[in-house]
Amino acid sequence: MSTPRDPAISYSILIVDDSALTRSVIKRTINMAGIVAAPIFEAGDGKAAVELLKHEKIDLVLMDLNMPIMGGLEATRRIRDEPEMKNVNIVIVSSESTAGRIDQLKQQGVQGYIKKPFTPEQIKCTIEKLLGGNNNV
Amino acid sequence: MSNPQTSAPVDCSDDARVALLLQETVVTAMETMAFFCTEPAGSSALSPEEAVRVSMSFSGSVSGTVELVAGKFFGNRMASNALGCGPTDEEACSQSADSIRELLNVVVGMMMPQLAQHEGELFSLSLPIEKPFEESEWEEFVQSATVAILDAEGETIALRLIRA
Repeated sequence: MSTPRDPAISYSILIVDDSALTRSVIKRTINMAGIVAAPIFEAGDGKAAVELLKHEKIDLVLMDLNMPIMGGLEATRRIRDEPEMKNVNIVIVSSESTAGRIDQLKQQGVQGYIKKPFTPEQIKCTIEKLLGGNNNV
Repeated sequence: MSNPQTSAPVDCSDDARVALLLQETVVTAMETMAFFCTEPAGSSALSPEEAVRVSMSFSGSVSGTVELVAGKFFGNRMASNALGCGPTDEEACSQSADSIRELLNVVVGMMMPQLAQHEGELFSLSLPIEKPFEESEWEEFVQSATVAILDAEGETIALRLIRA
């Protein structure tokens, strides 16, 4: 059960995807859903995401798996290994959806999985569920 | 977070079944990503203008490469539909190539559960790679046994799977 969201609180969200188009679509979905997310950070690969997390307080990471330089699985491992960021919410947003991959992600302790192609509603519901929101969204 | 439903794996050596899987997958992907209506087109369809070839490899119990050929304007329209802007807007034009690569990335990822030959299988996927595509290559491409040719609201695209 989600807790009611305090309208005075805004959440910081990090979108990690090598596709600028996908980052734009997710960002647009967040803005259109009226989710108070400020700021929204972006990274084009897992390494950039890990670096950003060292310096910024992030409430939720929406992470692709198949990316150059460092993929989402390795980035998740590194985040979970760092005491200061290990508790950040991570949701994988990827088209890789074999049962084996889902099991692997569960073992990494990710909070959710959104399968590409996603609908705006799936993004919105996942964010609301993890960061809190009213129940009629 | 639930596991995908398991069903009988697609026989990768069955060309017609692979072509149908490509067709069904790209139709679903385009409809969800960019509200595109697509329908099968015949092999007499003309090569897209200013075409690119994007390829992406996968390896597991079955391995291969999926290739997608599409025109630049198709990429503009994919991006514009996804972003809710016009196809000639700067944002759509700048993300045209990205949208074609991402479409293939999504299609290949969606196909893997269908191609998995055993439960719990993990595939290794490459990144989508873009190369120029010459009109003279079209005939050979559309004659491939696994090809799926589609009309996406007036834009022709084609995909094929090459087994490793």
